[in-house]
Amino acid sequence: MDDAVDGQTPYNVRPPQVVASSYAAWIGYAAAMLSVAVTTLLVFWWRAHLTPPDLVMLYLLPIMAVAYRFGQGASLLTSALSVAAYDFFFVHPYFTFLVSDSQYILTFTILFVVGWVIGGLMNRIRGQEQEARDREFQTEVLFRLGRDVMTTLDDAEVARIITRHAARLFVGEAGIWIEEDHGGVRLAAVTPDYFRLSEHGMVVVRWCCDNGQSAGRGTELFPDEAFTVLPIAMGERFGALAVRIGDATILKQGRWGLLEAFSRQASLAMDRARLGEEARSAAVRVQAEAMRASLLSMASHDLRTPLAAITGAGTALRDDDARLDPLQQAELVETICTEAERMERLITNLLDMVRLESGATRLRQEWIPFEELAGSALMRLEKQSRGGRVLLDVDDKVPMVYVDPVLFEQVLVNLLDNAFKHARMAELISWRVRADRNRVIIRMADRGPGIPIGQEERIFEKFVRGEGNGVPGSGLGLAICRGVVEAHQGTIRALNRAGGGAEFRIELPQPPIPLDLYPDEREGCPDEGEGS
Amino acid sequence: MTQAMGARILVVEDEPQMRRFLRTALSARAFEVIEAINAREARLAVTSHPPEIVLLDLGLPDGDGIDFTREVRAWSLVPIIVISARGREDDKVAALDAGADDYLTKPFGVNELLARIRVALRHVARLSNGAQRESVVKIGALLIDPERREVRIDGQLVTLTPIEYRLLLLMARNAGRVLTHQQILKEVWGPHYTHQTHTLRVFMAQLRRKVEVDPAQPRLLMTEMGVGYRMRDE
Repeated sequence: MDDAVDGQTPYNVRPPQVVASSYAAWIGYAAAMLSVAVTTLLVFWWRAHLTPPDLVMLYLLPIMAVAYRFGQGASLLTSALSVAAYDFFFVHPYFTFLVSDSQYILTFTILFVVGWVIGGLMNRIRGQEQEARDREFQTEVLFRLGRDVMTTLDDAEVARIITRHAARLFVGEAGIWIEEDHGGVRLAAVTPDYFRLSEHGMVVVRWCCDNGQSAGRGTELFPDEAFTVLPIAMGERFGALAVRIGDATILKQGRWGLLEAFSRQASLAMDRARLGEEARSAAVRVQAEAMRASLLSMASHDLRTPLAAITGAGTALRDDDARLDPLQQAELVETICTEAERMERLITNLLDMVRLESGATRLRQEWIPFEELAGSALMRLEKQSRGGRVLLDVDDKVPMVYVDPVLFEQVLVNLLDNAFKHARMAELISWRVRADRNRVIIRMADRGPGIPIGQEERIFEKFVRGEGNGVPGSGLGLAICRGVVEAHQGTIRALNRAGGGAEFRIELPQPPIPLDLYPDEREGCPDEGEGS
Repeated sequence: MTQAMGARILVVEDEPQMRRFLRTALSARAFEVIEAINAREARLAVTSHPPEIVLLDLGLPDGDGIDFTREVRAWSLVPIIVISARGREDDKVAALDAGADDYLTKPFGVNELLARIRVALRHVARLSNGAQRESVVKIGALLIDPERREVRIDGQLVTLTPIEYRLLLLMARNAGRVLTHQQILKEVWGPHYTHQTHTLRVFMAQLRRKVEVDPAQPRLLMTEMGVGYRMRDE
């Protein structure tokens, strides 16, 4: 069985069939007549070999069969017909309904009573069977609902799942309305999408929300409505599940219990979603608070430090000009320049991070050779690389990667910058790019001090810096990497290499390479003649 | 290379501190600096004292610098170097496609600024004596002889396909300047191919394999990520 959720999968158990319809009754009566006719024919054929008691016994067969299959009404008819046929064909005088021997009156009575009793018994068995099936169905329905609503904590989604289930279960339409703070009700979900209630219908829904009681069809209140409204308890307030029941027998059969059980289950689900939502928003608030706190402490420390150096050096040059020798002056000027650069990097990182987090960055994926990305990243870090080279090993099967070039270059820059800062020998940094079915795997390895054990995940968090190495940084570089990679639906993780050093591993999903990647040289390009 | 001493530079910038820095730094290099604090003043200045270079801040109080660029470009070839605090690649591309010659993101060092000014002045000089179109282009180890249609690296002949050759020649003739993907595609492939950025990238990778010592660490054909390419010229 496939595990589709939100009420799409068909129920294993069919909704209980109801036999009370007139159509089914007529079939029963027809079967009664047919079975008696067949029995009479057979008995008439064999009458020479049968004693009268055997004849009577044979008539019990159709009575039992019909009673078992069609219930008491049909079995009574079978009994009556059997008595009549027996009398007409096999009791002297033949071919009349007259009875010569009063002993036969008793036979008739017994035949009739047997038919009646068997029919009654069968009816009871059938009733129990129906009940068991009802229960099984109900359990299945509630189980399914329970399972499907567990898949989400989003209350709108939960409401949608409930209405879908209700609409399928009751072969009709369903909607959930939820009481609002200011006293009104709002629509949470409907199935199908066009299901709406009339003006008066909304009055019933509001009444249900206010009082927490069922109303509408099948109840004492507003029984003339086309739909039934069930309350859904949600903390201190109520919601209302309005169901237009298409299968009228559900109400007729007194299966009100199913409706109530359904609304109870719905209440639990909605309550769970509500509590989940509250817990989540509280967690988000706490996280935002922590983020703000660390941002502030970072801003106050990391931005003020270079600023202090710049201010100090600048004022020294302005105010103490006469007392400074040329060497000291040059030193102060150098301080101003390097500290200003440091501030710029910090601010750029901060802005990048904020842009990524706010979702203001729109991903612009393009096909680009990995070589070009790496080359450009190395170019930007020319100063930091201290002449170190990077080994680049790109699989021939990866001519291009599908990424946002600007953002992804930033990822490579941040990773390289990290490696240059920590690794003692820059020349031992290597990039390996491999294709793996519909993914590309990019690994950058260095021979630096590696990552402190247990910190492999933490280093991707914001404002977390490698410990105890005194390397300056914003603590944002790797967080930005993760942000960008995740925006590409990819993953990035860090591990320690055997033999020392760190490895960063990026996996990105990749679409198939477009066919027009290598266009015809000649196309649209006259061989001679130059552009300006 | 010819350093246009005393060239007149129009600085269009509304920030007084920024104007002060530019005025000081440029005057020290013997440039003649005229200043404008908004687009209206800048329009007056370009017509009354035609400058040899315009340094243009994009965020002007009375209008967008990109509109001003387009306006000036309609009637003048004066090099426009855009300086802006907006570091977004889209803005750079928009300014370059509107006709700006180069782009500097604040903050920048004075050396970087002077290098860009030199490149722009040289480019104008090249344009003005168009008779030299067929002259040999030499950049570092690279030598292009358009007359013979020959490309040499350190004297070694390099075989290029027609497109690779056109691409290389275009970059070399604009050495030092950033060309957007659109500009390159239009020049090399024609106006109908301006959306095929990945095609350009493929050819650029091929070209690098032929003319660069290490294609992953190019010394000539530099990538300006998200904007275009620039051939290094010094």
